[in-house]
Amino acid sequence: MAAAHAIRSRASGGKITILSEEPDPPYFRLLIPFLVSGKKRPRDMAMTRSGPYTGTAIHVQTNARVVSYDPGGPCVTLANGTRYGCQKVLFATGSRPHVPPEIQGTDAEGVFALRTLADARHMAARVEQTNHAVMLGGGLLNLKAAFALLERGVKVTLVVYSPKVLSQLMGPDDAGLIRHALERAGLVILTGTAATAIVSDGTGVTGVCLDNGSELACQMVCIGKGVRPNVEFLEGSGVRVADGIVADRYTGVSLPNTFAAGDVAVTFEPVSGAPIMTALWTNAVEMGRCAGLNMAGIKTAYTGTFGILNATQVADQPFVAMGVVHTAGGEYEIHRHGRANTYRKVVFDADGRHLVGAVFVGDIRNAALYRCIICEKMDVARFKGQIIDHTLHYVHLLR
Amino acid sequence: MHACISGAIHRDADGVVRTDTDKCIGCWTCVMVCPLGVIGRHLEQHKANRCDRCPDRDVPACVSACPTGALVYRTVPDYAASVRRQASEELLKAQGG
Repeated sequence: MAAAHAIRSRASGGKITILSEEPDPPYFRLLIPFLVSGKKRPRDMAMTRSGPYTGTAIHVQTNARVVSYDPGGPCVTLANGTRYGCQKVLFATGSRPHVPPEIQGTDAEGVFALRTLADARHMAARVEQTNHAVMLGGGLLNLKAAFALLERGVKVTLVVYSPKVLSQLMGPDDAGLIRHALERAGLVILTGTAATAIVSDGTGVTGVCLDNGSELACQMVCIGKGVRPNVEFLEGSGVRVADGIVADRYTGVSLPNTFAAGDVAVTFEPVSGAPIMTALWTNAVEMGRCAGLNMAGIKTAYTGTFGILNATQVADQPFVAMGVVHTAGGEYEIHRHGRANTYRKVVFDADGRHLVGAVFVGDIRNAALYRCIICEKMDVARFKGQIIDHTLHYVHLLR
Repeated sequence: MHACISGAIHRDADGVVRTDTDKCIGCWTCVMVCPLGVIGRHLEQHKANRCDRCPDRDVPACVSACPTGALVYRTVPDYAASVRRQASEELLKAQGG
């Protein structure tokens, strides 16, 4: 959608078709936990005519699952055999939830890997017969789903393999305030534990077996164990795939007139230059817009993505994490500041002249300025004190 | 605007960027991306907010209040044109015209 609107902002002619395998027209995926809590309806989440998505002459085809791409056409073929010829194509097929194969019984009724509006509808319906839900995985997706369930009066237990919650987004010493906030909100948290099997009967899920030998009785299981890129449809097409679809600095892909953006694309991390694939809304939209401009013939370099770029509210705590936050095993200059209700960590590289990462809990003012400083590799000498004290302001960056 | 995960941020008919409070869910993604750092948080309502250019006034309150005239409320092309006009008048004077 972002790409299509970027094209339309520069080119009012030409035909744009968006093919989606989902039955629902494009929506803000991150809002689907609100369907589970009952706070929003599907139409509140629709993208068309919302925010900047007011473009016209963009044709969206739903229930259109693409199964192959033929560079000879060029054309894409749908599962139902329909073929769409095109001159340029953007592969933005996203990612799907990873369901760990080592957990038995994941196909039972009441087991969810929340990804689509359809999943959310299903989950919202299952709440009726759920007293207790077990969340496998302590990442943001499961936290959002957990809070939605708490709002419906469901008891929730988080089963986390790591010793700390949100271990993907924070270092082990950063998680204290968040953990307390989650517990104050009523979440039961088990860390250092993994599920081995899900048990069920005719009514669906009845419990989860853990690796410590215990079994938790429950009627719903939510799996939040990461995602995998949807690249299978490109087999045999000649498009270069390395886990995800490999994109160059202008979002171009290995065959002529092909582009990639979002969760499915392998792009680059701006500070290290290393290849990276992320499943983050902010990155996907920015990359989509960049791809759209390139498709419209306006050569636009992509700024790359951080592996971590997250903002959210966790219980009563605002939270932002970006860049390098896992510092074990590397050489960094780290400054941490913790009080009763706030915590922050800023990470500089070994020479102390460049910011590479930051975590803010509680006070997230001006977070984006830190992102700019990291991304543009600014020499921080002029305002290092302000970064460390979190008194940085836009005016400090002018000059 | 594009980073907003709920479509709450849009540009209105006057070109002013606005946050739709009903749609805003207080996720703070906008705070994380605004390169000017101008997005505020309403802590009780749990919503993001920003300068709305005082739609009920002809001139925003801050501009009216500024005692030194440092705040100028004009469009960029209009302001740039007045700077160019002034520069050409000074050049003309310097050339004795």
